[in-house]
Amino acid sequence: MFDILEVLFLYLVFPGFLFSAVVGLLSCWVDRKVTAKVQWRVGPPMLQPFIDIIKLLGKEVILPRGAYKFSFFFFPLLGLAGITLVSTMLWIFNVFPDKTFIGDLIVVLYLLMLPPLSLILAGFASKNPLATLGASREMKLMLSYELPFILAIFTIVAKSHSLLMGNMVTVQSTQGMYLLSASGIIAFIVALICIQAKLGFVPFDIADAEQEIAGGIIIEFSGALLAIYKLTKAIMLFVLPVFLITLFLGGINVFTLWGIAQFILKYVIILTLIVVIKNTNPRLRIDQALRFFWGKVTVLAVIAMVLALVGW
Amino acid sequence: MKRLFRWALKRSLYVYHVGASACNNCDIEILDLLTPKFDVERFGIVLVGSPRHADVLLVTGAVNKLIAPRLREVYEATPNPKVVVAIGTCPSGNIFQDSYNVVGPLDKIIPVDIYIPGCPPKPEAMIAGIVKVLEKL
Amino acid sequence: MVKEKFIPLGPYHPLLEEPEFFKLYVEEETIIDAELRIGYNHRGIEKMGESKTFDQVPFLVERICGICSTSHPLAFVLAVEDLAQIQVPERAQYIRTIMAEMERIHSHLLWVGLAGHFLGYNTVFMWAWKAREPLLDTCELMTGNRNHYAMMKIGGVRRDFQPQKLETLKEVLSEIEKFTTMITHAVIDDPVFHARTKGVGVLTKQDAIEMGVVGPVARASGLAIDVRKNQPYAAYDRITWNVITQESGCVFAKAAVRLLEIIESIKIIRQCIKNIPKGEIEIEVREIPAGEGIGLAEAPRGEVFHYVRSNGSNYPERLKIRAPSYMNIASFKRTVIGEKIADAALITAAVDPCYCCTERMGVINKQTNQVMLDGSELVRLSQLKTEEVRKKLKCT
Ligand code: SF4
Repeated sequence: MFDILEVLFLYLVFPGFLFSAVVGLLSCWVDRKVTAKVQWRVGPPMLQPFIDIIKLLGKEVILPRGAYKFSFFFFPLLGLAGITLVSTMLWIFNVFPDKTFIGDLIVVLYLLMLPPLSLILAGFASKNPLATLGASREMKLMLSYELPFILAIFTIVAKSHSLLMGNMVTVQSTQGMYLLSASGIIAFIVALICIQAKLGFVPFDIADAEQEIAGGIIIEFSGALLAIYKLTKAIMLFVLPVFLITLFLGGINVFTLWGIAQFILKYVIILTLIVVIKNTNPRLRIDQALRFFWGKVTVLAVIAMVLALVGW
Repeated sequence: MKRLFRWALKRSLYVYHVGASACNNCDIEILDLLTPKFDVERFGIVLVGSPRHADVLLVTGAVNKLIAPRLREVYEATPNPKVVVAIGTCPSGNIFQDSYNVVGPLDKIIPVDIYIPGCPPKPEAMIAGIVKVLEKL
Repeated sequence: MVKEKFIPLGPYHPLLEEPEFFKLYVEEETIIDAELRIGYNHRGIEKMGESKTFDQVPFLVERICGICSTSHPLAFVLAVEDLAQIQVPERAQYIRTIMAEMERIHSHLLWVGLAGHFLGYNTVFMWAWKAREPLLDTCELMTGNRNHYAMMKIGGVRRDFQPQKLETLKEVLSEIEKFTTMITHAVIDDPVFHARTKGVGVLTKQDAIEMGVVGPVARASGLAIDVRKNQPYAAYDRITWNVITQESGCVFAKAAVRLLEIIESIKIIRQCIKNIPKGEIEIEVREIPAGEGIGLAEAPRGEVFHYVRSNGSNYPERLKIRAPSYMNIASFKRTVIGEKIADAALITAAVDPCYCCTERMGVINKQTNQVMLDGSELVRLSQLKTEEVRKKLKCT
């Protein structure tokens, strides 16, 4: 399909690592800026997230006493690699829907699990009691949100009768967005809430609750490791909304200006929603989050699924 | 490359606040820096929750016997390059210097880069102090 | 076998501005036991008090705590005035009341913000602290410093309040009143806030009595104790106001008590401004006779108690301080067991502990020179202290 140089370019530059990182960090800035505005502050300058990353790369990396060296350094990288791959794949499916392959949705879903999983492992590897606590919380959180998330995604599968992401994009471009149906909108809400948790934003920032467990998983990360963590989070902040757009909001049309503008608009709307949710809610406790996801959210997801099956 | 890192460091200070035995006032004024009136995030200064993430250690209060070893631990846990700022008069003694439980000025325990005097220093003074730190970096 | 592991909460923990150390023994996320170790903040203030003159001690005790920097000096000068039978001019009494209430307002606002912060509700944190700023500015205008006002003096106060400054204060108060009403509605009606705080960390009335808690913590458990009412000092007996109580003793109740107290304090200051008489603000004190005196003041966190003994010289022979958090922290052990780790921080915070106040009384192990007190010891000590205080209260 692609030759090796092309693949490298796709993965490392556009739309892979570099591109997603830049947009992700910009989104981080938007997040921080909007948060500041809500709190009646001025907020950081635009390049702040980039500067943070550069600075962190220039700092010393300390291996905590008693930590497992390999896991501690390897897993954060793995998470970053995983999320970058998702970004690359999503863009390819959007731009060339015919490049899709059977089960690509499943692959994406699995890859999306990679960053939290690798963080959990790195957290355990650091051997700090607070990090361990954070990791176990993250694990519980993952358990709780994966079920409704997958249900919501499969609502779309049920609607499009295929597991091909490329297909979903094409179908939506002819028949209109999935969002505009009863089941679509419910599934979208469910997915949005799950994304909030995946991003680790308030009210689901349980795993790295700074006030409770001092940053949790990342408590021992210094220098470049922290930079990698921040990059992963930033790229997730970019990739997850794009994932939603692909599935619910008719994908991305990069061949016309209008298409690009539309995409940016959709992206900004989702980002704003996420940030607003983040700023208007206090943190839930892990058991409350669990109950919330397995109770209300799952019920919603099931309703969406049933509606989709009966064809709404 | 070094210059790039230094440039970035000046614009993105992660601050970790260490209270030795302070009277709480300096500590509160530090938190005040984050709040809307002063909002140091404008300058990229962020308060972090772990010394591992920090570039600057803000030390408040007089150092007593129990806290001194902890202070050294925190200092060692902070990755280089790092700066130590002594906030308030307490780290250099204040009225507590004669106390039996105070081990003496902070710079006997860890190296201090800059002192911001005042009891408590006004938030404006702290910002001015941080700016001086930038020059030292 | 129960698998136990302990989670350290502190000594450096982002939640707590001050160093302290809790050992939480946990099973999964549930806390089964807790131990408190303090001493990280011990500066030996009581001992040092004996080497300072009576005029210097207010400066020293002011530095016990940055937030209660009116209450401690106030309690101290009350103690000395009690000892020397000094009659403080009326205007000074009113000024003292105003200062004490301003302190209460900014302390409670600070707590509201911090509570929001612990809940991961940073917006509330920022808002509350923003609302606090104008008050601090007014403090600076009226006393010359944002905190550590140095207003209290044996025999009166140091600075007079000019009428135009009181006008500024009035304006700021109405701003704060608006904000408090707003936040009370916004936060107290918030379902998530309810979920996180209602029924969490309950301190029953019985427990509250047994642990001898004071201040808002006691009032949230249904005990209507307040030094300002029970043993009025300054101008509190000339003003009408209510003691706020709540019944349930949970974190929610503690929040409610504090928010409502802000409104009450605003009421008090308004009346003070209206009724403040003209006249002297201090009388000259030449000599402190030998004898003993106690001073009680209601700090934002509860009752502050100072005991002074003098032998007729310039220096107090003994200075004994008991700060409210000392009693209140001990209640931690009752409230936190069986709760989730996520709530531990919040429950501690609900007490609004102030370590710099508490650590006047480290029990020092002579061999190791370390200050150590574990939870049970604290409890026992605290109960003993209550007894002592009760006795003392009776004899005066
Ligand atoms: S310098 Fe003053 S305000 Fe700061 S901690 Fe010391 S006594 Fe408190």
